[in-house]
Parts: sequence; structure tokens; C-alpha cells
Amino acid sequence: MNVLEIKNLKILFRVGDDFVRAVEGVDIHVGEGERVAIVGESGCGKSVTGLACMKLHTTPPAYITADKFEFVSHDGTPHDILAKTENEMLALRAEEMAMIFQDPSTFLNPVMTIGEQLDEVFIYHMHMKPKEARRHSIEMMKKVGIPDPEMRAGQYPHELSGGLKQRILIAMATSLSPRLLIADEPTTALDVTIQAQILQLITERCEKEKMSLLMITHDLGVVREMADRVYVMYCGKIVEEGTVDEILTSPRHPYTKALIDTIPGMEEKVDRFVQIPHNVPHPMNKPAGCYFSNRCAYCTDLCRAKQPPLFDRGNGRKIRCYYEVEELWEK
Amino acid sequence: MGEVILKTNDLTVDFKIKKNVFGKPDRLSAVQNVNIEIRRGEIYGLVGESGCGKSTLANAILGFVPITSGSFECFGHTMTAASKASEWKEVRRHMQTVFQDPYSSLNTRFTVWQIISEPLYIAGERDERVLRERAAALVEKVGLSLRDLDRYVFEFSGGQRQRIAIARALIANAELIICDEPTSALDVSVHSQICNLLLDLREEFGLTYLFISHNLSLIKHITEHMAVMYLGEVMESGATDAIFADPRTPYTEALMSAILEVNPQKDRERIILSGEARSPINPPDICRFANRCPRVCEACRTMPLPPAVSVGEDHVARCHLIGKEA
Repeated sequence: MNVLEIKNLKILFRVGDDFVRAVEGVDIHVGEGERVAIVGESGCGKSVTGLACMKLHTTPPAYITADKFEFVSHDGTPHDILAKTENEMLALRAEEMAMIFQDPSTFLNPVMTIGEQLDEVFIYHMHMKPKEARRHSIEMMKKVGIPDPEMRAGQYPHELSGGLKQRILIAMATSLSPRLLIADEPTTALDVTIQAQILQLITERCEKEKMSLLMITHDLGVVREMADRVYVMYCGKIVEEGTVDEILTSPRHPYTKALIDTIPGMEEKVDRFVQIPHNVPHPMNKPAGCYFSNRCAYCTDLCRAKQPPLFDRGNGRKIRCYYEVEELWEK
Repeated sequence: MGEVILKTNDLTVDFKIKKNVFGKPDRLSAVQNVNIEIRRGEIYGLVGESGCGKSTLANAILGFVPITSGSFECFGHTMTAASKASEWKEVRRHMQTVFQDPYSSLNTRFTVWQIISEPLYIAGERDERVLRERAAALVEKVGLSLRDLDRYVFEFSGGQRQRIAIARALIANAELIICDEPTSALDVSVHSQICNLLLDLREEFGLTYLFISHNLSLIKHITEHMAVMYLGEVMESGATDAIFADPRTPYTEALMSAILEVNPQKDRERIILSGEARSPINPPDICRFANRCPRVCEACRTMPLPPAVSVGEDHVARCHLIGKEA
């Protein structure tokens, strides 16, 4: 059963008299207890998609349409996210779906103590008395591995390191065991040794609370570590979809293949790095045909003229490319 | 391998932090007794987590922050805390730097040729025609076109801006280029473009790089020598291949195991460190990694970090455990 199902999601942003098409017809579904990743470079629309799931965009400037945007809560009722009012969303957020962000310091209130911010979740959603809420907060802080939680509860965000702040956000997001956790680049701002800790914590929390995970990242290493299934996005479209093992071992879209090739393996030393030529196109100025055509090593006239659809290659594998890739790689 | 062009001798940088007007200021130890050697023509990697002092070390070598004690030898000069401004100016002629964030390191009110030729202007060249010609000679080498000379930086993407920054570092014929995380602000698909460019330029101009990065896999592939820093101290240094083949300090091991592998068929054992780095303010004189070390022993908590000992050809490490395991 799907916890989240999105069909043909389009997100436009108004810029002056023009529109930027940030997301152009994306289909995403997240099954119960499944760990799904969206991977792509900056500007590909992955974060915008994540924010749309929580309905955190304001209209204007954002205009969101979808054929289907359904989230199924714990009790099995389907919710149409696009039709929800802000008040209805308040009830869903934290209890049913929660999100953690890249830069934890931006999402903590600098003039409230850590304890007060954690208490809020319990006070607003569970209608607890402050004292009881604090007891639960301390309990949560222990669960996410914060040493000396009583002391930390009385501190302000600036007194905590980045890793600890991210732990606090994870505590907030998972304290009511939501059904879906959306993690938007949760470790990009952290050091590698802290990244290892945080990824382990997220996995642990998801397993314990039986949460589904939607992981948004640019790092294929994180995808491999955290997800079962992955969507590769480029310029607002999904270019490849499949299980993590399949995509990382036998990528079929030239973009996915190029992304993986740019990461040199740890075994043998290389003298030069494989590079993708040119830059990601500007969102107002995407190529006419396939969006990757100007950077693709296998581009043909057909690619330049007409945008390829997302071909279904069976077993949940989908590829936005005219060519079967094995024949391409051999060229 | 060429001669040593930069050698630090117990280089130390402290910052004084005043809590209030009265009382003794606290000592923030950013770089502590660092000894590294960079040879002509090589790429020397400096790796560590944020706050470990790798950028401060680079800034001290460039003279951006004052040295507290120790010295370094560079291009025939010995620079200490007492060196004069004129001497710094002389040494800095040989060095240039490429910063991490090309969105803040380039002047938005200058055109590209003005940015690129600024080091020459500072060196005393005032003839605009000459400045422009020198800039024009370089732009194509870094992968930009002559038409870009009169444009402003806001018209360029991150990768292109970094190319401008690299051209600026090259124009005054510097021999040592200090690259402070030159790719970490860029998109993944542009990383390799910039790395390849740096490698090509090294061939062409015979450059030496001090390459600062937290990305170990990058360091592995492009550097000949490297140093691993933790909270201001170099834990391990030497030939990159030797360190990767046989890391001898627990911190280096943990750092290497934290590299995320992309290939699902390969599985490595992960060491997940507990806790976080201690505060660099008034650190006790013991091993700074002791509070997180998975193999901590009594000596680590009570005695100062031992001096570097050789653990193989071109490979030194500092750890109480060395020699005890066998």
C-alpha cells in the first residue's frame, strides 16, 4: 500500500511576468515502510517536491497542480494534500508527516530554549501539560542520543553544535511517530564522521517507529546507504527510476551513468576524472528536446528535437531515454 | 620529486577570546605544532573536518592570520611571528589562493578581466592594455572564451566563476596555489571539470598545490602527499598511497570508513565515532581525539600526544598506540 502517491506533479514559480517550471510532471510513490530517495543536483526540483508534500509553499509565487496528490494517514484515510486548508495541514504535520532539513540552525527558533521547542510538539498535538510535555521531550532527546538531555533542554540553539541541532530536529520530527518522514539533505551541512552518526540515527528511528522515508539528496553514497528505491531527477523531470541496487550497478540513463562515473572508486587511483561537459541549463532556458541533450555524449537529432517520455522497462524500472543503454555504452 | 618549497616548523596559531574586559583571555588553539613539507610540483592534500584548522593553517601561510609561534620556510624566506610586512609581501608573490565559495570571492562590480588581472595591478602593473592582454591570454586556458572578458560575474555559473578565480590565481606567475575546498560549493557534475582543469594547469605551468578538502576520495586520487588534521594537530602525514593502504591512527581509520561507497556490491566495515570534537578553547594537554577514540587507553587521557614517529617509508603518525600493538 502506498503512503504517498503523486501523479503528474507540476510546480511553477512566478518570476516577474514569467514562470519558472521547477517541476514538470513528476510521478512519485512511497510505499508503507519503504525508503525512497530522490537524487539530483541543485535546481533539479527535488527540494521543491519535498516541500510540496508538506504543503509548505505559498501561492503565489508557487503554483502547484497534480492529477493525484494523495497521502494516507495512520487510520487509512486518504488525504488530498492539494485540497487541504492550512488548518487541516497543521493537524497532519508532525502527527502524520514530518520533515527534517539541510541546515538545522535555520529551523530552530534562536530565542527559545531547545526544551521549549520540543515541548511545543506535545503541547499542541497531544494537549499535554507543560511538565508532562517536558518529560516526554527529555525522553525523546535520550532516544536520539543526546548526552545530558536535562541540561541541553535549558540551552539555546546557538549553544549546540550542528550535529546536535540535527539530532534535535530528528527528535522533533519523529516524536509523534509520523507515517512519513521527509529528509531534505539532512547531512549536507555536517562533517563526515557526524554524517555517519546521523544517517545511522535516521535509519534506526525509521525502523523503530515503522516510518516510511523520503530522502532528498545529491549524494549517491547517501542513496546507497539509506534507500531501497530511487528517483533520479534532472531539470524538473524524473530521468530514471528503479531500485537502488539496479540503478547504481547498471544505470541506463546517460545522466545517471555520467553521475556515477564522475565518482572515482576507492580501489584504483585515477589520473583524470570523468567529467560531464557544460553546466546544468538555466531553468528559464532549458533545451528544446531532451533536457540532457546538450551535455549527453550519445545525443542524436531525435533527442534534440523531441522530449523523450518516461519509458516503462518493467519491474518498476523507468527511463527517460530513447535508447536502450547497453547499445549506447558500446558505441 | 622536486625540492621542498614549503616547510613548517612547529607552526602554531592561537586566537585569543575575551570573555569580558577583565581577566585573562581564553586561548582558542586553531593550529598546534604543525610540521608539513611540500615539494615542488606535487599536490599536497590537507584533510580534516570543519574546525580542525586546515583553513587557518593555509591562512597563516598566506599571512592572513598572525602566527603565534613556530615558523615556516618558503621560497628562501623564514617567516615567523616577527616577520615584517615587506617580507610577507615578498613571500606572497609566490603564492596565490582559490577560495571555496566563488559567489563571495569575486568582486561583483569588476568585469572579468579586471578580476583576473588584479594581482598584476597590485604588483605594480598599471597599463590597462597590458593587464587586459595578460587576462586574455589566460581565459581560454581555464576554459572560458574571450567574449567573457567584459562580462560581470553574475552572468556566470558556479563552475565558471571558479574558473575565473583560478585564472586570477595564475596570472602573477605564482608557484604555490593554495586551493581551499575549491569544489565543495559546486554541483556534483561540475566537480570533475574543475579538478581536471587544476590537474591540466599543473602540467602546463609546473604548479604546486596545497589542496584543502574534507573529501577524502578526492584527496586519494589527486594528491601525492597528505596530512590528516584533527582539532589543530596533524595526526598522520606522508605519502597518500601509504596512508590509504595502512592508516595508523584511529582517527584516520574512522575518517576513511566514513566515506560512503556508491557501488552496492562493495561493502566496507564502518567505524561510527561516538560524540563530537571537543572545544578548541583551552584544550587540555592530552590527545585531542581521546574523548571519541574507539581504542583509547590510559596514556591517551593523561599524557600529551607523542611526537610524530615514522611508521613506514614516507609515513609518520602521532598516536600513543603505535608500537604498543605489536
